[in-house]
Amino acid sequence: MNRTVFLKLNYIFVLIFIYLPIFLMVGLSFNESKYFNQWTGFTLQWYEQLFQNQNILNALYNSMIVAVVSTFLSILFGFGIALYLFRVKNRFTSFVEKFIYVPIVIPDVTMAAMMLVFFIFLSNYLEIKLGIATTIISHTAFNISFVTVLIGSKLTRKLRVLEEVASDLYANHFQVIKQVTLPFVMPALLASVILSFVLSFDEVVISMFVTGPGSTTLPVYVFSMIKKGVTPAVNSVSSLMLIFSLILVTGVLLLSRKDNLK
Amino acid sequence: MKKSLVILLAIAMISCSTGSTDDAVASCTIGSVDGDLNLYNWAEYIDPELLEEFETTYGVSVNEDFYTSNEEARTKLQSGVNAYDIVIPSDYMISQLIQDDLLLTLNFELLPNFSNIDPDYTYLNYDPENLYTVPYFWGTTGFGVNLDALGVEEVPNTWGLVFDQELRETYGITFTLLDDSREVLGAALKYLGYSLNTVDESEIEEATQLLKETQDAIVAYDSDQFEDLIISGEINAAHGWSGDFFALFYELEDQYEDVYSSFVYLIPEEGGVRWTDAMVIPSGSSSICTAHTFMNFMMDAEVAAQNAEWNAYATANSAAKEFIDEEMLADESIYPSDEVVANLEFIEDLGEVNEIYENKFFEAKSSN
Amino acid sequence: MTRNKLNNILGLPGIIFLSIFFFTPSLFIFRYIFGSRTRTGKTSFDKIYFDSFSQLLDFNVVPIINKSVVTAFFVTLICFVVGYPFAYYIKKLSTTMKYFSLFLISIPFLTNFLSRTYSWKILVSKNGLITKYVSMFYDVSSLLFTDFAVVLGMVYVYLPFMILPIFTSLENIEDSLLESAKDLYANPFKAFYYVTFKLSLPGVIAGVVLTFIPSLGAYIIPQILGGSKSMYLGNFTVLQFIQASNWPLGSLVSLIILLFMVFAINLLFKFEGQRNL
Repeated sequence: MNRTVFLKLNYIFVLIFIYLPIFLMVGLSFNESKYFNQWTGFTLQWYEQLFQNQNILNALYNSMIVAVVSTFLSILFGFGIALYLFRVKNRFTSFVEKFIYVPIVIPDVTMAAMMLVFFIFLSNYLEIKLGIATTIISHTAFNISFVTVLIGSKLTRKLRVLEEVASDLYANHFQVIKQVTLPFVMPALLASVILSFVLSFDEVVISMFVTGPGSTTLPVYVFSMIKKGVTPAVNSVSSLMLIFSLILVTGVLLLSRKDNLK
Repeated sequence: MKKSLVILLAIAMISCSTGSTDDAVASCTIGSVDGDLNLYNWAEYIDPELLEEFETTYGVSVNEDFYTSNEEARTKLQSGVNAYDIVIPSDYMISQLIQDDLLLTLNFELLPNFSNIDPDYTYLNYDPENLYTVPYFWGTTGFGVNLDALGVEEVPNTWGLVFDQELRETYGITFTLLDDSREVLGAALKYLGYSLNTVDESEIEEATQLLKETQDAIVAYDSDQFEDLIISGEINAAHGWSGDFFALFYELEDQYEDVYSSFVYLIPEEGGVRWTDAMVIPSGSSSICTAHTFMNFMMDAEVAAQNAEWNAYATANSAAKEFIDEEMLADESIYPSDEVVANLEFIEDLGEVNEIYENKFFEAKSSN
Repeated sequence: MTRNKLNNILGLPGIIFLSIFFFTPSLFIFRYIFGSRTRTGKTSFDKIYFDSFSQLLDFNVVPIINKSVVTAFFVTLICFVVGYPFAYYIKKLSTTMKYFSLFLISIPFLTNFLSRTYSWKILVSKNGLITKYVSMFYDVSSLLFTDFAVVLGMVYVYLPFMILPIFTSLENIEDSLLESAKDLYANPFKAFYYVTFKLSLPGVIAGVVLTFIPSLGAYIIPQILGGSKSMYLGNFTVLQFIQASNWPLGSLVSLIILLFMVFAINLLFKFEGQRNL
């Protein structure tokens, strides 16, 4: 019984720990004063200003586009690779299995530098300017591995058995994947979607190196605007993002509920 | 084999593109625009109202990107894949950029407002023939102190407040230093009585040692938010650029009866850095006409004056002085007297020795 | 559609993408390692240089590596100590509460991590809540720019990366196994250790890896919460690229970090014995 109490306390502590900065951030977005150690009154002015701050809105827009597209591509490629590695076992796939971890362990900076250098090299042959496209490509490049590994961890022997059984039942291999594999990995798939999106959206260093003028992403913009600390305007964006993501994830979960019930 | 092909191709591409930019410059007229403006600048260095004015007057958008050090700007420009149209680096970095062929020569026919510029700030050593630059602002680097927090009316005007343990402890100074190798080692060198452009390795080593000894007392290295830290009470003094402090003081004016007796910006007697920033057009620019028009716009007397009052740095535009608040012009900390200026040095490009400063700075930082 | 063809269609597009946009760029890092920084910061490739190597030896990187490894270790340790019990606790909850809890810890990650880190800055500053709390036990006036703040900031960001994999593998353990474990071992702790913990090991390994690795190469958090006072591997490398324009050295250090991490992962997998895939 002591154990349960300890576990419960730990649970509550973790939740408080996680949400403390969030509440602070949301609270400050309503603070009239720019400075975080004085509360001078409740105001919506930062939210109003936000909608007039072209720079932040552009950055937010860019971040969203990059995150959505790179997540989509990463899931497409990553899921495919995970299945491929699960179903095919030869020397080549063993090599890929090992190599797939590299984008996960590679430091942001290394990745950023090599992408920049790569694009510089390409610019000798093609008209390349750093922008949204280069950012999307860079984010996808590192995200694929996360998706592959995450989904891969769910592709257990159990699934193999299920698939064997299913391939007797279904003539078509597509069908096997659709009816058996997909539902089986759905939690991992959803987790990958969220993870990819977050990783892309929050990516600072890589974006810093590979975005160009006009295609700055939100984290890069915030990082470079740290001159006056974080103006409440940035807190406003973050608070709005929180609400947005709450809606998004709730929606995704509800949808997956429906699928499960089916 | 392949490598030389690549190099040949690259050279061919570069020479082709240079050709077309000459044509482009030739086809611009005063006030013409050929696309949106990509501005690469220090944060909070241009009054956003002026950018809006430019956008509405000329019907183009302005995209601002920011860097926090000259070296960062140089890295981006060197990569050649960025289409920035206007960059505003500092003196010593400009000479490096010129040497690397990263800047376009300006067409001064498109810049009639250039006559507004103070001649003292043209033809400086980083651009001796003044082909590439239009001076923007100049300033000093000093040490800002919150006298109120220290509970004193004044403090000695010396870098000893940073480097002398006794002095630090007497006043209870908590401070940040700029995150910049040349500035920080420069301050140490000046305190030791040397030039901040010395190439004498033993002198640099002495400065590094001094810095290492000071490490424990340094709260942080910071170039961007020392103002915030002063306000929140985290520190009571900071190494920083003149205009940043004054912007801070103006903001705090309402909270203090006389903000100038509560805060002071010191230019230590041992000397320090004076710097000039200038507008340049990088060679990767794709909106050359717009860039020139922007430069001309910023040199307009009233525009420059509004900017000067906004960012509290010293303008290099003599025509603008007519429109700047008298009090500001008289403020010796923003517009130091010739005497004080004579004691200051520009940071110079020291060729290979640049690297030594960087490395020593790293060394000092990793010593704890 | 043959089985083979389908498999290829599944896997090859991704593999090709990675070859072009990851593998090829990584070759450039090798190229830069053998270049040399010119006077103005460009990199010259006219012959094979070993400057980066000699510079690395000249530089005293040992304290930098030390700091990063120690920090990463503490971050991982704290995440594990706090995260495993969390995952274990929610496993026992009802399905709704289970997923709701996961939902709760994941949501903050859809907000800008920079502004969350800044909130931490506020919390550990002179008048911040955390500082006030800690100063009840220790005499400190401010926790900002201390190693403690950096560790705290990283734990905050990486905790879900520890919790989620552990939870996933705990979920995979069937309750029947746990039941039989209770029968087998009289001592509940033994039951836990020999059955539950061992079976959750893949998740633990994944969690440790996903926490230790980014902590080792971290740049932003040490920069913001550390005040640029100390050199970690992350900001040392970034500064070589951005500030010092010394790409050969930056590339060399990046490669070394990378190799170290790959080595660490291999070691972990050998120790675990199983594979995730």
